[in-house]
Amino acid sequence: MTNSLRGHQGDVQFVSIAALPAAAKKVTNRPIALGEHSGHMHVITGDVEMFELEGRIICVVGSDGARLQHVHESNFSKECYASTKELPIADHGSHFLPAGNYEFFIQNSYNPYSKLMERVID
Amino acid sequence: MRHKWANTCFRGVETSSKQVCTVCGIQKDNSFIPARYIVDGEVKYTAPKCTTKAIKYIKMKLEKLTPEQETKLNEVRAFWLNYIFSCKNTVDREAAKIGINWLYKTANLNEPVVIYVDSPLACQFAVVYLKEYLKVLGMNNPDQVEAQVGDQVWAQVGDQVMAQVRAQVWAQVEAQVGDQVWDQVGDQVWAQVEAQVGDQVWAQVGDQVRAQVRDQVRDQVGAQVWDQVGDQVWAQVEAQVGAQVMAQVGDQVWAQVGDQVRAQKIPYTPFAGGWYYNGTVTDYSWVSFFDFFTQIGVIDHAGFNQFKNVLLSGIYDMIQLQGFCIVSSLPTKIIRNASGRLHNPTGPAIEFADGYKQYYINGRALPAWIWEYVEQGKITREMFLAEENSEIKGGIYEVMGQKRMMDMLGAEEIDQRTITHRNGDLETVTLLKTKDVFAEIDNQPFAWVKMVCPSTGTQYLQGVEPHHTNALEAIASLSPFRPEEYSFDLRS
Repeated sequence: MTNSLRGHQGDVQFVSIAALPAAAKKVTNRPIALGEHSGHMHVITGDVEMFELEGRIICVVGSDGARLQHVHESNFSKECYASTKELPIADHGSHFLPAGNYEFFIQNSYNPYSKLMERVID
Repeated sequence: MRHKWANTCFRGVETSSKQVCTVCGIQKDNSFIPARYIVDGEVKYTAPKCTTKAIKYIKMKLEKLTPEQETKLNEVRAFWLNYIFSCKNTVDREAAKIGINWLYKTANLNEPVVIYVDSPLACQFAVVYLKEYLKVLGMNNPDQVEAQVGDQVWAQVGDQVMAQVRAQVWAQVEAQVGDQVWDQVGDQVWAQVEAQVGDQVWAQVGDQVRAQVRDQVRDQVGAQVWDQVGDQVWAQVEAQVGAQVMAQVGDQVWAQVGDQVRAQKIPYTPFAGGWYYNGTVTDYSWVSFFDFFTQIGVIDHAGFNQFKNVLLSGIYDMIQLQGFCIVSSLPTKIIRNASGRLHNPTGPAIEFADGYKQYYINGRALPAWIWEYVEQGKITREMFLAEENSEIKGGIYEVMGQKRMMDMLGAEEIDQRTITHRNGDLETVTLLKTKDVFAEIDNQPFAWVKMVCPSTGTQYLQGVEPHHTNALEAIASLSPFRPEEYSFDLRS
């Protein structure tokens, strides 16, 4: 990960990776993280395809680039997925991602009662 | 009718060089491949009119799903999950009545009077009101009331649905579908619907909600629930039973029923079906499996189609009695965590139209007072320390949130580090721990790492494992990055 591009937007972190894993399965683009209570979501829009592999979220960004955005669901529609146009920001500013492969992560929090790392959901 | 010869059989399967009739499946060299027809839900191996010879049929199984069928598989799974989790469906009384009449008829029972209420707790109230109602109307002998209201009949209904629907569609699909397809649909539809509607809804929204209702009834519900649910049910039962069974019942009689029910202990009446086949939410998993094979044309079973319509009439749960059937509508709100477990730190995780609600954290049912006390600021350090139930303490931890927990318990700074990010930003992170240790978390302190959001400037905390002594290592442990990599080019 040393030379990779690394980013952090709220509870979502990402890193550029060399290649898409061969077993990754393409899925319809959807929010990377969806707040249960706030109505906020982290979405990637523009020239991008989303893949999943055993719970991992990987995006392949094409030559036109993509934008990671934090928006309120009321300001978002399916049509927004196609464009890198910046949408009204919920809390965290957007990031333009150049062509490449990126893996996304959701920040954890340790629960001392379950003794497990649990994904942070705002 | 004449044979239509081709190198493709009637099911579209390539047949190499053999000429096959695309209507009946007969081969020109007088050997045969099967012709299979479904009549009234039963597989018939009959010969079409173009065949004049006696035909020895063999079964051709569906061994692989087409891409279109795989798409349909995903659609069917999504449909059943969405049917309950969208929380947009309520009981269609006309369709439910048709379906319930059919269920009872299947078990050789007379059509029941159907009483519709909004929640499973309301079902319990309805049974009590109903019995009291019949008593007040003159059947004061408890035995007579039992005879009138009747024993529970869910076992009869379930057994007959098992025999007349489930066993038949099982056999039909098994006869026509290869192991690979059976397993594929089983894994991707049945198991996944069961994992969410089954394990989660059956075991939680279904079984756990039932268990919660049972416990609350046994503990006797408080005045608030009486006001919220009990009185509504009273009105619903009055309107529905009065209209359907005994019209012209005076207000005075009904008031007497209300008073008597309020004065008595409420017994718990089990819901229909300890397992499957009674037309409730517990049936979603196996029905979704056979629904797929119905939709791709493998089966067309009249009984199954009717049973599916029972579920799609918006029924959540039922108490099936002889002569009466009490129906709860689907929930109006379900909130789950990423694992699909009922979970809501800020309020009820499941709620029904009459206001009945239950509270869960990561699938554990917890008492409502936790949420009420947290909202009212009534949870004190002393109360938290005195609480002996670790599940309740875990619930308080979740509902209060990290910041309030830390403020309540008090914490001291253990370590502070400044991170220089690759974009030049400086970020200060702080490791905090309680001075006290707590028995329920293995005699360890609570530990948090504090960070600052670069967009909003808000300080926030995340829980970390208690062994940490280095703030950078602690914050990196919440991410996939090693401490030396925890530096970002882009931050917001």
